[in-house]
Amino acid sequence: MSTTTRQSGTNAVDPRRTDKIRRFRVSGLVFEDFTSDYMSVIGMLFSMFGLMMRMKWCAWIAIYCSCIGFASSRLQDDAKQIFSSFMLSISAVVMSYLQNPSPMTLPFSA
Amino acid sequence: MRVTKLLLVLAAVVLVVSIVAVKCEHEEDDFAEFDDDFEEDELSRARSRRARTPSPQKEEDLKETPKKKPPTEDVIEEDIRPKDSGFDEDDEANVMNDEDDFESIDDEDEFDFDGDGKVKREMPPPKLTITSVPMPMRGWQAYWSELLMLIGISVYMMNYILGRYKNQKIAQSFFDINWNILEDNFMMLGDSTILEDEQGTRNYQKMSDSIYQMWCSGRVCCEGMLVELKLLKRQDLVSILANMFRPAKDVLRVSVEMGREDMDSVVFALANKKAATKMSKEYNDLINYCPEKKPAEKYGLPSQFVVMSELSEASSTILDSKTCAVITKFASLIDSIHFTDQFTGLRSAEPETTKDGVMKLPEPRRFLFFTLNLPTTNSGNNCDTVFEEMKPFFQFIFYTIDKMKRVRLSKEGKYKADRNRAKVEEAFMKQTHAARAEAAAVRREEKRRQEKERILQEDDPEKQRRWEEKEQKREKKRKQPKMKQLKVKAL
Repeated sequence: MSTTTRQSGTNAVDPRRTDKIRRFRVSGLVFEDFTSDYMSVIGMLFSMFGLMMRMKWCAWIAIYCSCIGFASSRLQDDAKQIFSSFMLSISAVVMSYLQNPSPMTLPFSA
Repeated sequence: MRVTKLLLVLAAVVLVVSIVAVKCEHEEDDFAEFDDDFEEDELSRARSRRARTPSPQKEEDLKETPKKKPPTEDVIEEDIRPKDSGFDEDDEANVMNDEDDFESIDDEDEFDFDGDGKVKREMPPPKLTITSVPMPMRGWQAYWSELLMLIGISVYMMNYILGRYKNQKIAQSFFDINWNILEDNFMMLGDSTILEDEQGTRNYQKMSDSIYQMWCSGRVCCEGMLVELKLLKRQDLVSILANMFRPAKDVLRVSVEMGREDMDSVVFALANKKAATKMSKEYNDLINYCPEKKPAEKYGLPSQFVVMSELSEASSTILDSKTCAVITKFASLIDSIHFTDQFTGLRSAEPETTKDGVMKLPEPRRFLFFTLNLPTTNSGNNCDTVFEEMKPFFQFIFYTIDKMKRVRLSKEGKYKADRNRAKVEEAFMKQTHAARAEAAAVRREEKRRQEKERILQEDDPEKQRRWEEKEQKREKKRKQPKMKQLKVKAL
């Protein structure tokens, strides 16, 4: 064997040490999940389309995007962003139905 | 007394009922009045029209006398109406029916006042083209797509609540089952917000609805241990649907940070083939120190694994009989095991820069990573049994921590490892040479500019002149082509 092992002088019974207590440091490996960010961007785009192009289905999809963004968000994420995403998508739906209360026409049925 | 009370109540009830009845009657009367008014109105209008229209005899008279003016609307209406009948209910229907009125325009006899059809030729009947307009759907049935959308949102929200609860239950079960073993090994469980507090929060931390973690510290041979659970996004219906097409599993990752003196120069990784391909592209240390992959059968491990190691002596020491037995036992769960003393993060991470803008190699840290794919179901019902079966693996982690403290490379091995580290550093320096030279030039320029400002602010012109001369000389020297002067001594 080309390696040598040597016995450490540590206590095998109780490995706990008060002097070894360290604060948490990020290792550099994190479970990244960008779904929330993507959904807020896509939701905003759909809301804009719903508001400006008067496409009702776009406004509805924006609400779905907000829901997915909310479900995938991290606790440390900004709650204001999720809230504004919801408000924008809901206002897109409300405004499109106030302008034209007729039922939605789906893009593939037209 | 009771009788009088009853009578009073009865009287009150009768009063209320009578008031309501009167009110209803009044309302009905209101409408009745409206109907009466409406009928009377229509009748009086018809009567006045009749009064205005000439009688048949008068009409004959009118025919006799030449007429220049076109007939009025009233006349037309009168003509189409049956002349002999009075104005009864049927007539009212005729009055209300606009379509019949317009049909009468087409009647050829209507404008034939002269008998020779002169007016008819001058005013041809207008050609009305009626386009077929689709009848719009009425009522709530037309809004079926909106209803579908609302149902979809409510289903999503219900699934969110349910999925969140499931993930919470799995995480709770994991930490409950492994609590004792963690408590026996670490002084502090959970990240403490106050350094003096040695107990920690004694609870796991929820990062999102699918990610949970706990930091443990206060053990020999290591700085700390981070236990991370990345569960399936059970709270997200879209992810659940995506999982049907591309199945994924719950992931457990244990990252143990080793102390500076607790680990020798080792870069080693054992991973299943899929994970190995990904790791060899992403991890800086594996890219630099372990370029080749060896089949795990060589070490008596299942064929699904691949071994990546800087030094073969390190891998043969790490993969002893006990380790091989545990790896074989948990082969279905293990995604990767990665020990490194040169962990600098992922390749995508940008190199560190100091305050002066100088790029430097990130400070390497020592880590032991254990990544497992948990066989928990989508519903998470089997989580308790899965975590109970996994308990020996936690023992193996602590065994490895203690073992890595003891492992020391031979002299040749250590020399090789040190040479490799020096090579990597040199390669980094070469790679960032241009950037560092640029940063140095910027610093020099900044220094010169400051000096110039300082000289210009001084009142002594002689000093300024001297500085300018010096600067000119320097510039001239810099612009001159660099060449060596060789002095040849004449013999």
